[in-house]
Amino acid sequence: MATFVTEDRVLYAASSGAKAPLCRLYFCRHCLKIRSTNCVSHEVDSLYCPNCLENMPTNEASLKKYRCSNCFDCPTCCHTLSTRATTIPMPDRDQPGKIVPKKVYYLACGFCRWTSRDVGMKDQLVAGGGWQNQENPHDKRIFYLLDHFRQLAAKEKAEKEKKKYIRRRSHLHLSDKFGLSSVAARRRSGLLSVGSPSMKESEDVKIQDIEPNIASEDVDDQLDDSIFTQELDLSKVTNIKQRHANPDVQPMKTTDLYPKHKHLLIKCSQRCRECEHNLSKPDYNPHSIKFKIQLVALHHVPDLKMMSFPSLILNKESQVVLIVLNPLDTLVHMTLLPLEKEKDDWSTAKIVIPSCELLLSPRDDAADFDENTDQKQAFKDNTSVVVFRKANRLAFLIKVIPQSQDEEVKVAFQMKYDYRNLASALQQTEGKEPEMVWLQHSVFLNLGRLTPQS
Amino acid sequence: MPLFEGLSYGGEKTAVIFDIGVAFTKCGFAAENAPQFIIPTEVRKRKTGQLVNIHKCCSETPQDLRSVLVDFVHRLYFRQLLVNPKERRVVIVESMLTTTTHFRNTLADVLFKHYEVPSVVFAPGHLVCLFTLGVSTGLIMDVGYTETTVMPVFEGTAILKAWQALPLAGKAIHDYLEASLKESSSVEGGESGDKPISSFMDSIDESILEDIKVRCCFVTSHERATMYNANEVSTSPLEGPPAVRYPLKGDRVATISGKIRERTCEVLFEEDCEGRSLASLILDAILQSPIDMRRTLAENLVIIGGTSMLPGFNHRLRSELYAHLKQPPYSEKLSLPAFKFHKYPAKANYVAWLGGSMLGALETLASKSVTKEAYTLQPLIPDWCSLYVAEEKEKVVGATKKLEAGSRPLSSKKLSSSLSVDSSPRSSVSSAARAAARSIAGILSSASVDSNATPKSS
Amino acid sequence: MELQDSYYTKSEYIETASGNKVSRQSVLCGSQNIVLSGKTIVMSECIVRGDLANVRVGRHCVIGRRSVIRPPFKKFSKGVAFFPLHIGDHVMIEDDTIINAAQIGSYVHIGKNCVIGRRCILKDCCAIADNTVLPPETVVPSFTVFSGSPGVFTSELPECTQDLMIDVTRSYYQHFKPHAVTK
Repeated sequence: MATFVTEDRVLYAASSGAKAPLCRLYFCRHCLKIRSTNCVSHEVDSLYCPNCLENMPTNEASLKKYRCSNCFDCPTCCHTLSTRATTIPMPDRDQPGKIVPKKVYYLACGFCRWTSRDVGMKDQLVAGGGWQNQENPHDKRIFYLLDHFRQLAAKEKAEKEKKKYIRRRSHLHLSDKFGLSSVAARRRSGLLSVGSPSMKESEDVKIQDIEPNIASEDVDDQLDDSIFTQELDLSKVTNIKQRHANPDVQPMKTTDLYPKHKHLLIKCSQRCRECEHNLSKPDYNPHSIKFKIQLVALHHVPDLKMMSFPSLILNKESQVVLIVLNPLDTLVHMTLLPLEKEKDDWSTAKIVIPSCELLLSPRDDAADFDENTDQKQAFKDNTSVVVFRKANRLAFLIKVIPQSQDEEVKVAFQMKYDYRNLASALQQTEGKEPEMVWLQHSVFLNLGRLTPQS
Repeated sequence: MPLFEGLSYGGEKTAVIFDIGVAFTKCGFAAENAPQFIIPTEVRKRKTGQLVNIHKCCSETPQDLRSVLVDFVHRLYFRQLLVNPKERRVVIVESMLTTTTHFRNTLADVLFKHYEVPSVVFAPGHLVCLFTLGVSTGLIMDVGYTETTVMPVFEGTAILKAWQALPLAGKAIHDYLEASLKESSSVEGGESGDKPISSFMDSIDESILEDIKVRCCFVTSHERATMYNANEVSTSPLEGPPAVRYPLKGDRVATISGKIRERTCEVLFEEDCEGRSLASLILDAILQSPIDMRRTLAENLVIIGGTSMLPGFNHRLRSELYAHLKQPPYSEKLSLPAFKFHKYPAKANYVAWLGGSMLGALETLASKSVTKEAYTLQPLIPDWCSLYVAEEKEKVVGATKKLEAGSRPLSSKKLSSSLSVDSSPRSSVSSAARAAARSIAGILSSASVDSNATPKSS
Repeated sequence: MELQDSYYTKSEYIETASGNKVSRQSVLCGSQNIVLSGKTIVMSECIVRGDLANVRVGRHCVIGRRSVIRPPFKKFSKGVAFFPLHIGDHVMIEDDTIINAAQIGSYVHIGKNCVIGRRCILKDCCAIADNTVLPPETVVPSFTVFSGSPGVFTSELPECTQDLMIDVTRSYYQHFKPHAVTK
């Protein structure tokens, strides 16, 4: 079953050796290997606001600190705030003295009932808001310091560059005293005029003295005497999460909590680390659940499931029914092989796997609609192995002998099947038959605990 | 992929700054004036599904720590910062004293190998926080979660021999708070009337302790504390602050007495059996510094770290310092006219991050970082505390290099990048410790050089 | 793990021509306003409030026991208005959940004992963990899992969620069988 009810009973080994359920794995059809989230590299594909579901280009997002400009989070409970409209009587602008009702907007939380009026934010006249952001009180000083260090760094780099030029080609150093990069640096900081205007004209760069911070004997957190007498109202003190939600201000009192713009979410694409092909690339549109490229393992590797929890008794052979689903539109010949002993750090039980070849009929979406087609005869299955088959699924038996009393019963084996390699066919000249390759994957099963015996 | 081609200065994207603290991680972008996020340094373990602090995984096998770090860094990039790791340089702000070599090596490995970041620089938090002040000398005390560390820095050079550390910080408060809550607090509500808190809770959840500490507790004044201590046995004549009714899960309400509120944080200032407290930590550091620096250091105190944000902390620390100064052993050895405190343009819990942010904004960042190429050639992050590693490497790198590095003038008059000494494995100086200590000296001392060069108006 | 067969008493369920299976113990108010598109299972003690506004449920959905589906309302200055509620295909709603959403996309999984607040929008391919409370007007984007109270984004769903949900809802329908007739 999907999502949180997924029980990781059947795990597949990815090329890196990591074990994961099939739905979390990718299949690189260029390397013909299973890839786990650890052996792909993630890339941010597109940014969008989780509330208004609008895309934001990367440049704009970095300017806006990766936050949506229209949506706000509640500062107390982190739920999205909604805009409420109300009418209040207001003096008319055109006719002084006359009071007319006017529509105004404020922000309110549907969960904890916080409103922007609680902290004395003014109601807005437009629904979109022109909500003021809280500013860091130290902006100016940090800006100043940063500018100073940048000038120093630029100078340092320039001198280094100069040295380099002197050593290598001395005729160039006169014209390139600063090096282009220092100009770029200053342009980037956007401070050509604010910083030190002298820098542009004079070749002999003098960086102004820094204004150091002056330490003082005073500290500003002397306790107010009221703390010893007044009752503490917990509902007025912010908790640490609320403080950290707004690192610049970190308010102590709930009356200082201001709404924060909603943080964006991303759509990620995955890339195979070996061949650098994309394994998954989502559609740009946040509303869409389609993918431009979707090479998930579920579409390429036969999906193995347990039919039910088997009854397992220590040192006794018991039969386990497994179901395998063929996701491919070709007839698949599958054989099961034992896992090499050296690679096996999983098994706690002996396993007897069927030696015969299992034929999996191709996936056919139409087959779901015509039920009760018995294909058993058509395939001449070995009835001691195959339990039933229906469309592209096949149930078969394996035998397991549990060996350990305390642990869960775990077995492992390999599956080998033929796969039509379409990727190589695409590269070759047209009209050629796609090449058939044999793929081999390790599968790890957790069959659960021994059946309690009465 | 042509990702690295665009890494010339003009087109380079701003670096990302991580300060992975023991309790909280600060992350954000270079040149910004506050981190984007302050999040608990926790990650959900894949095997068990439980939230674990990544620093608690340090003792586990390298693979375990690595997988935990991979997940945590993934969260930082793809859930918080929302940027591609391959495109941005990384500045890691770290404490010189608390991060283990194992941890930083694994972190470097994760960043370079798994996330393929172009470069990483490990910046010592004690030094970079001076960036935020525009000064080059200071006595930095970092009151964090597990430890309080003190490091004197003079003209951009850390005086390593004088460092001090004590496990008196957030964790100590939590432990003390838990013990005293269990001892004395009662809980009402639930099925059966008032009961001591220990009757239904074996241990109190760390998050609850933290919340009680943050919302109810404060650091009381020096006068009140001495009065309390004088009347240890009998009932104190002082009227304590009012008790707080603290709601727990369900309909249970715990009563947190005024005594707990006021006296929990005393654990930081009470002297241990060796007579050490936060105040003595600072004085010891001053005492171990060269005599001509002492006064300057005392007049440039920088108190950072989240625990120092407790109400009343700085005020108390100041009174404690003066009180200790009058008592032996300091009264004989130290004579300091005044203690002066710096006010930084930030909140105490992210000062070091802000310093990192400033460092990351500079053009010289590239030259001070370990690049991915260098790391693939030699997967080693130089560290001041793993001296012999550096020396071993030097032998490998070759005697010529060593000579060159050793004879390099250390004068700060040259605007040479001395940070590169710290971080680039190729140019290790004979003493790696000195290298680390000087790490930001380049930038900072150049500031002082320039101020010497241009005549002051005053 | 393959789903296990679950059995019901034939007389307790009405099976429609399009394959819907609706428990006789469920309450469908204003049934003329309720559209079940086919192969949808409505379990016992469910309440669907079609009398308030239209409710449209897609194909291959499962609505668990004791769940309530109630079109959302919005307050206006002149009173209250109800809005229609649309549920997409292959949606799994587990037991004891209350749904006030405006829109639930396809391939959505809602856990047990959840409250989906007024006018929430659940996009295609998302999931709500058990015991989640989504406050009014929450938007749940595709490929996300929301959990907690208030429900917040906690994890991501795999790319193949669509296939998984189709598989789950289909096999649920196939395994939802009447008891063998005992004479």
